[in-house]
Amino acid sequence: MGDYMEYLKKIFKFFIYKCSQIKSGEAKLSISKDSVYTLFRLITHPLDAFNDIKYEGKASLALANIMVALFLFERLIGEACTAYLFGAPEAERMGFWMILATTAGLVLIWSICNWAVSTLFDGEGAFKEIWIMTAYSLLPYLFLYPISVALSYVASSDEAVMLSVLSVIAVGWTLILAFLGMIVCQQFTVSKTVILAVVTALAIFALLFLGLLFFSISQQIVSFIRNLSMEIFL
Amino acid sequence: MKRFLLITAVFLLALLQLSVSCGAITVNDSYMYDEDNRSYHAPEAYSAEKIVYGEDITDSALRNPQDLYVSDTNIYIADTENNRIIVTDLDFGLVEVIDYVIENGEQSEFFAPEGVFYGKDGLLYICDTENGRVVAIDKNRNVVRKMLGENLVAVNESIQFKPSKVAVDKDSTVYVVAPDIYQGILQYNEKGEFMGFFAPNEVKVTIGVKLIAMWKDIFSDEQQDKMEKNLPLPYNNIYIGKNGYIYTTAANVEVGDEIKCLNALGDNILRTPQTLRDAVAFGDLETSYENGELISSSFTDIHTDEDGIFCAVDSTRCRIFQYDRECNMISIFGGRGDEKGKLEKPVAIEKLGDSYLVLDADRNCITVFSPTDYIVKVHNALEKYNTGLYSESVEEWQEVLKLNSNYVIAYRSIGRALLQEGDFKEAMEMLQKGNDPYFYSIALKEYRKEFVRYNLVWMLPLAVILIVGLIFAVKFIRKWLISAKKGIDRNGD
Repeated sequence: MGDYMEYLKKIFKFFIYKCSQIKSGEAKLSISKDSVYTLFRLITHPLDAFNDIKYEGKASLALANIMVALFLFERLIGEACTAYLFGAPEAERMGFWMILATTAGLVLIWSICNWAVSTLFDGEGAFKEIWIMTAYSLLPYLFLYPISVALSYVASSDEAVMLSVLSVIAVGWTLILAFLGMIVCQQFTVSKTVILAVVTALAIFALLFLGLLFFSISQQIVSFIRNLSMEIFL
Repeated sequence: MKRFLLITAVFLLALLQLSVSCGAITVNDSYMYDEDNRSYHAPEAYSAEKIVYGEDITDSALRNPQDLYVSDTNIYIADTENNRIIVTDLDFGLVEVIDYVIENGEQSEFFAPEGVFYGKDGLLYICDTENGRVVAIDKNRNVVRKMLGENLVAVNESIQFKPSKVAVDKDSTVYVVAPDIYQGILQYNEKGEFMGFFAPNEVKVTIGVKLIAMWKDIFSDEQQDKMEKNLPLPYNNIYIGKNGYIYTTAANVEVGDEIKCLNALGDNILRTPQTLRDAVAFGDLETSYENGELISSSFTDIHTDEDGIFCAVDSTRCRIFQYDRECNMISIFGGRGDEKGKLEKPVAIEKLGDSYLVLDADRNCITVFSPTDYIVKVHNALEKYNTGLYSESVEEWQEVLKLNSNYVIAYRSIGRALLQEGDFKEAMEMLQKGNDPYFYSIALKEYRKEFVRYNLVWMLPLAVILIVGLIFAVKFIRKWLISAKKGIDRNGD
């Protein structure tokens, strides 16, 4: 738990630092009111909103990045603050790096793989578009997850079903939005988008596997070189 | 110089001795599991009071003794490889050695008797294992009843009836456990006639079992005969306590079936705790590996007292686990080793007064474990709690917590007692510490109700204000955003 709070503090400090930079004019936060409006239009008119993002340019990268950061932040707080009845026991909670990997890391690797695969599939999406649309799709989850964390304090185990329904809605809605985003972004048919999603998931696994392989092999090489040098010089 | 060195050496040696003896005092490897199923050092629950060897009772040592039974007046030891039953009084003074019985006027000797039980009908029941019979004898060693394996339908003809443990209920119904017989516990009526099988262990139908069954269909009948059959596992011990329930143990069975408490219909009435998260119901909760193989507890004997507290012997790690009637672990004692209080191959457990007798088949001795103050406090608190004296039990549990601040059942019981008394907030805190989600949930519901009742005065207006404020805020933001849409300012401010 200790390092967990450390990371939270660091993130918070970074946030304040950025805010002060923006205030003093060192950094520029280019979020137009338009892009915020488009974000909220996702709730009522998702396809229109995605079209606006793709063709009218009514989206901002900064807002998308903030969404992803919020995702990470909410999961960090939610993991530590969910009430006893619904949270994981302290010994089994995810650590900071695990949460980072399953929030920001997941969005990033999804975007990368989706972009890579869609290029093979003759999709029209640019990486920036995919990243923004994926991040924007997080909106329902970002709204509903804090609510479910708050409700966990007043819900007894009889009402556990309600909480799980809430989380299913949150995740399901986000997935649907992400799916619609893919359709608009790549200009694919529905069936082709399904295939794209499946292949993207496979690509993620392949990437993770390769990454792991690379990591362990490089580790072995490093230890081999170290042992060799130790044998020679010592 | 020489003298100086000598003094230094002596001083150092003394120091060494001192540090070693300090270590020996503080070393205490007894442990318990906390609410997250992690082990921690706990006060010693039972300490070895004395060790009784065969030489202390008779003139010869025990050889691979397998069973122990304590009646109101006597202790019975099945001294298996000496082919005899030793009867002592409660102070281990020899009463008699039974090495033959009188059957139809003729003497008949035992052959490796593995089980002994003294029934309420005044008869001594002995599993004469290698002779394939269970005999009930009276005071004069006359066989009153004899139970054989004639009518058994065993898995194949070659398996012989080798009864290993026996228990008798108050109606003189005899329950016999034999390691080769998987159909269940053998039940004999008061005349010694075989009645049927009782409460077999079940084979759980898993995907693996289904797949093997599908695979088997392809083969011919001959091939199928040679394949391993998917049969339920036999029991390895049985005990009928003073409360009349039948307690059984079995090894390598499904999780939760290792220890069963059976009612008259053969249903298991033990409930494993609701907080069970891992796939372990009894025994050590932390898994360990030895040479790459998972070591799991396997139980060989069980004893239950009139309060429903039961002790089970784990032969894998030579430990004894004590549970209350709700299957909450109370204490762990024993352990593998040569020294006093450790065991090499525990096979049987019995209770004598407040102490436990554990029979060791490898060291051929009986270790007497007597309760420490700590466990006596625990038992007192449990008894008070179970009889409904909640406020008194809270005080007792507080005493226990002073000795062992991680004791889960204490927190749990205090929480439940406070819940009974209506102190919901405190109860919630205690139940969380005791990891009892079921009662925590009840306490939460009550606390919620109480909270709303006292705070409705300001909560209702606040809720109305919040909702109205939210609606207005959404409308305002929407208007602002739409107005911006018409503007030219793309980059914001």
